[in-house]
Amino acid sequence: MPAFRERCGSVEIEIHDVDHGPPHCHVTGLPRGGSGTVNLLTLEVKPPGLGLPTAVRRFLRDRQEDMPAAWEGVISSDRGE
Amino acid sequence: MEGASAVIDYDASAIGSRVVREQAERVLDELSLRRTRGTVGVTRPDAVIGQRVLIVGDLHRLSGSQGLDHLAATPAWMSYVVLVRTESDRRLLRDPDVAMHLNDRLLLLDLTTLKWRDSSASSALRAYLRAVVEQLRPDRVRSARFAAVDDVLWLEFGDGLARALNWSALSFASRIGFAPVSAAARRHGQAVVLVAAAGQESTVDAAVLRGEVDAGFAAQVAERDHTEREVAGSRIRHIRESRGLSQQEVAERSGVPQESLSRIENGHRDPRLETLRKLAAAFGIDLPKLLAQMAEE
Repeated sequence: MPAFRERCGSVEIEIHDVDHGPPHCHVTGLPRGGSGTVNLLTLEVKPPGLGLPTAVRRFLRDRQEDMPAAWEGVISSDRGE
Repeated sequence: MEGASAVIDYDASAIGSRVVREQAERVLDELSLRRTRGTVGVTRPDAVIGQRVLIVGDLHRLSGSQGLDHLAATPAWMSYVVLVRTESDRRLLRDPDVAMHLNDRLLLLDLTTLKWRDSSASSALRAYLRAVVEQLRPDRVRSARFAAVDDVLWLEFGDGLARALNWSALSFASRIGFAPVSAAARRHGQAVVLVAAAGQESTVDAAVLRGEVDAGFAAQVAERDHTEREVAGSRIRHIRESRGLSQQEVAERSGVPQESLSRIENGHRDPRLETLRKLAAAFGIDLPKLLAQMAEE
């Protein structure tokens, strides 16, 4: 199982077990087939123009402590220099 | 990488319906692809070599007089989105020889059961093309398998790069905690799931795997990640400075070494949750409040 995986409506939010920093989650199944990543500390979205539904933003804000905690279990290929 | 799809050219001239072609081209324009107007299937490899080419069209028009053999035999940098949309397409699809050729490079989208009038077909086409273009990125894995007998992870990336990776030589292999027996690409190629004999699973990010075999790509990711860390660090610095605190004062209050705080603020390292908790206390707030403020700016 991934370090974190939950659904918010049709959008799947996941933290991979092995990933590169900084802490982030992957979002897929966005309206119009979009997908991207969200920084878990700043909630900045990549790619920048990717629109996150309000419900997904609220989901991420509500778990802003849980998800960085889940990231601590990730096998990170780096943690910065 | 975000910009990777911009180097993919596409040709949607093999879609018979003007309405469908316009819808497909609108979606492809949204994806910032450049348009080519060449003859389908072919042609001037010297003009496009080194780039990815995406060709979208109705099955019967793409197969043409030469059948699908010539499509399957074209170079790896060409990919096809095959639309099944008309009665001719349906007839061809029932041909076993045709079905046999619908491999990874001939991506099949059946639109016959969808209605254009209620826009469900348009939405399906949009979502499908986005997913297809996503899959052509170098940080997507198109296919993965694990050969336990050789201890080798076989990967084909979205841009066609194929590599056999010696499992035990991978930087993260020893930390996964089990020996995989199988592997598969998932989530539109964003990750590879590794499965152990006892059933444990581990998802490995596709960009990490690409970085293992492509130093140039790894350097690009490292630069992008540093920029992202700088944003988080600058927000912590702003919160500190808005309280009139120096790094030294925060270090004394929090117990986080001043050098560590400096590296975090300058984007050279990711703060752990416990470090953030200590910094929040030094700022006179709790962790949720600090995280909320970092996300607000």
